[in-house]
Amino acid sequence: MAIQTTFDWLGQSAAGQYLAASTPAFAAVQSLHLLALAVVGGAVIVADFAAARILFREAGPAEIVKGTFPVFVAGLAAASVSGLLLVSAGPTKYLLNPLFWPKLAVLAVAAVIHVALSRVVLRQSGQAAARVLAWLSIVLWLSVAIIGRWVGLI
Amino acid sequence: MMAYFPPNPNVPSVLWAIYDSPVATYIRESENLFPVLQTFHVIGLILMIGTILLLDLSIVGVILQSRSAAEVGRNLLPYTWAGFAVVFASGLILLAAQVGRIYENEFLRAKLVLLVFAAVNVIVFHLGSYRRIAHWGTETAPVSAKTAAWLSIALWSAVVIAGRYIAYY
Repeated sequence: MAIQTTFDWLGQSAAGQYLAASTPAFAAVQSLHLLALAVVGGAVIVADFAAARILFREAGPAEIVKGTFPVFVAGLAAASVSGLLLVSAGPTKYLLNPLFWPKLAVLAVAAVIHVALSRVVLRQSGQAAARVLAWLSIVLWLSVAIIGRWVGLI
Repeated sequence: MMAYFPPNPNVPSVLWAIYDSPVATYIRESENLFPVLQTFHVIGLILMIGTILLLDLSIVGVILQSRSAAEVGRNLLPYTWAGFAVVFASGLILLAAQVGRIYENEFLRAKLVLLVFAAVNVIVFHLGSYRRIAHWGTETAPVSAKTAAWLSIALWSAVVIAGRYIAYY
């Protein structure tokens, strides 16, 4: 199975071996993951609430969505890299974790919805659609955070 | 309920009494309540630190340069405070439930010291350059404000990092 092979490779990589053996290094990557979540969360909340006309009502939502999009992308990149490193420190644990794939699935949908929302807002192609996507995005990202916390607990 | 361990003589008796109270013991031993509180702590953290970082980045001129810092601050601060309320309340309960065990944890102490520094930075900033924020317009923020913003990014990040290390030591 390709996924099994990829996870095995991650676990045997130099980074995976190092993180599995070093508690301070593992905690450092977790810290980075947490900070990246804050960056993603901040960007998502501001963009979504601007799109829903709750925040920055003086400004056009397009300006705020456009202005926070690079922050969203940077945060998501940092969260993905740190997340991959965390997986490499104990791939089997995640492969067998019943919440790991649901988390990634909800994350993928949340990211797609946020990008879709950004496009709708930037093209100004529908106020109602933007509101629906904004609330959907908020609920999905909140779910990612909650499921993500429980991935580490079960 | 009796504590599992004899009181640690290094822990002040007031803190030990809190730690040993039925409520704190119940939370500590609860299979679900403890992780639920941790989840609230993380979500509060994301809301609080996420909005702080955005305001800081706008003050130093990295993002949202077309909007004034005053406008960004006015819009984001209620969310920062809401996040703070959640993170602070959940943090206090988590601390009460564990203080007997982690009182001597060096990362807990580092986190609390860093929190004081971060709070002082907030107070100095709000009593100082932030009071004239409306006059900056969309112009570049004064050096004092930029310094406070960079310091804020560094200090709040350090608080998060120290907090994460508590669990491992």
